[in-house]
Amino acid sequence: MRMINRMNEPSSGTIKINGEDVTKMDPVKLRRRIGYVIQNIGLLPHLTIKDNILMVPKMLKWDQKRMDERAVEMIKMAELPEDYLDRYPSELSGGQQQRVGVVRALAADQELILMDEPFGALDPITRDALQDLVKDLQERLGKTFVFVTHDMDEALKLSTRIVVMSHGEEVQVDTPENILRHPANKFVADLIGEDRLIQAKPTITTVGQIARPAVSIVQTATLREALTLMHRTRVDTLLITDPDGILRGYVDLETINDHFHTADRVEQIMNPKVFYVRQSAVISDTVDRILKRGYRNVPVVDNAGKLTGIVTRAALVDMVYDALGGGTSTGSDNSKDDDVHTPDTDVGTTDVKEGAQSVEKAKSDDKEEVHANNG
Amino acid sequence: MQGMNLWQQLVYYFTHNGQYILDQFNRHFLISIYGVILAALVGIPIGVYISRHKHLAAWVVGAANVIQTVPSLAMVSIIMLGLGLGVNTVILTVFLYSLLPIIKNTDTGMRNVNPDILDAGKGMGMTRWQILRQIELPLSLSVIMAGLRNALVLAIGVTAIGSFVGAGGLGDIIIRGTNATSGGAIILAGALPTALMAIISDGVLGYLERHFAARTQ
Repeated sequence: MRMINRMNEPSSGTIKINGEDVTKMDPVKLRRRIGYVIQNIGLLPHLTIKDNILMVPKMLKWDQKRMDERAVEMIKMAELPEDYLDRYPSELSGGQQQRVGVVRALAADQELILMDEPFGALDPITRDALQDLVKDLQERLGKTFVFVTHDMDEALKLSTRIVVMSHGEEVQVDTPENILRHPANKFVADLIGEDRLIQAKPTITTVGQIARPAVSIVQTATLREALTLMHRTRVDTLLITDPDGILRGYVDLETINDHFHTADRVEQIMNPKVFYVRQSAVISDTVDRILKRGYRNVPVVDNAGKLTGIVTRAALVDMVYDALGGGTSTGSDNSKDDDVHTPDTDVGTTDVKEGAQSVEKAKSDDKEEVHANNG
Repeated sequence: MQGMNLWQQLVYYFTHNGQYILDQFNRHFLISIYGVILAALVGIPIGVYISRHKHLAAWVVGAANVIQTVPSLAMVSIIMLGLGLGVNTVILTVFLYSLLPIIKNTDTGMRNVNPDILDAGKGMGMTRWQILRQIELPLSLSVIMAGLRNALVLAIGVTAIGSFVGAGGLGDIIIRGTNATSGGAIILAGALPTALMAIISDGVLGYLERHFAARTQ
């Protein structure tokens, strides 16, 4: 990974970013275009959080007004209070510092962000929160992340493509879904762990496949229409879309009751902060997020933000039931023969493409990945 | 002067030669500070350089150590052979003595900068000069400051000896006292301000050192 921003020089092969060979670029200019997050955070202790966030914009000589706005925008993105901008790194907890570390890598609108085990030194709760943050930023901003981790759960949760590396060789390159379903060899299967393999066994793996039709109403509908719809379909919450079917928010029975005489259209009282998942999301990750946040159901959208369905708790129960009831006979044979690495992988050639939103490498040299995913 | 005790004599000397003592005090301080500033101008770049070239560090610090072992009176005398009597001889002596603490502390300070911070800085696209200016020097400033503090206190002592080669300073007053019969009060009139200068310099630079250290932890 350090070869991408030329912290290390490749001994052979080429690395291209959007078709440009990095070894032909000025390393300093190259690095200013690439976000960089390291495990040990690396904030400058003698600068305020604001100055830390604005390091790259300052190097690129943005004007002051733009930088001020950017700092506020970034601290909000890190989900930290605005007055933290004037604090020094030592006044923040480790998790907060790494949040700043993450947004610092985004401050100059870098199109590619490198993350070298960024959450390895954090406690599990903080790590989880930061993973959610990164996943959210990646989905929202559509940036390319290259993320190195030893934690298989982290890899499966965050990535759209995983590169499994062992002793400097690529063992498997695929989507999380395919890696779970078809591990290339025993090494990858061991890395994933038996628990996750069983979980992945059911043919259902994306949210879209277990989603049910959602009850929704356009934002221009009147409260009376909404109430009638609720009564007819026997639900207490309605999802609200615009005329094109793009998810805008939700409204529940209580809110309608409170505002029935003061408002007349649902868009006036809807809550725009609606938690949703994409239909292409891997189910095991979604299960975690839904259970953790305590939602009874979660709307599902396609890549354009269009509402396509809803995942209910009942659907999750069915899925977990199928998984635990159906797939227990797949114990892997316990033969201890060494895994054979296919030697034909082109080492040193990493082509970072725009389309691949996040590529994860799970190194294998020390197998420290723990906590099986019992969602 | 007859019939006065030592303390009264001292007060008497101060009241009658106040301006003279103040002049010598200033002269003494300037000699010391010039030597240290020159040493800082030379020593800090050397320290930065040897922190990057580790094989050189042992040689450079070793050489500076050898200078340090020469007794100051001998050093002043040796340099006097070259530069003759006068203030330049003392400034050069102070300069040579100040090199070791400044080079050594700059080297230590630069090496102790957290490598993760350097990695982050480089990875974000800082040039080598920006890394030096914006990361390494600010973060090692408190350690460099400690070196300057050592050097200045040392310099004030060396300058007192410099009076032997006619550089002036508070050492003049001390020598005058040693030459006079029952000159105890005069010796004190030179020695006390010297000590005071050393203590105040130490205190002020110590404060700066802590001030710079506070933000770099």
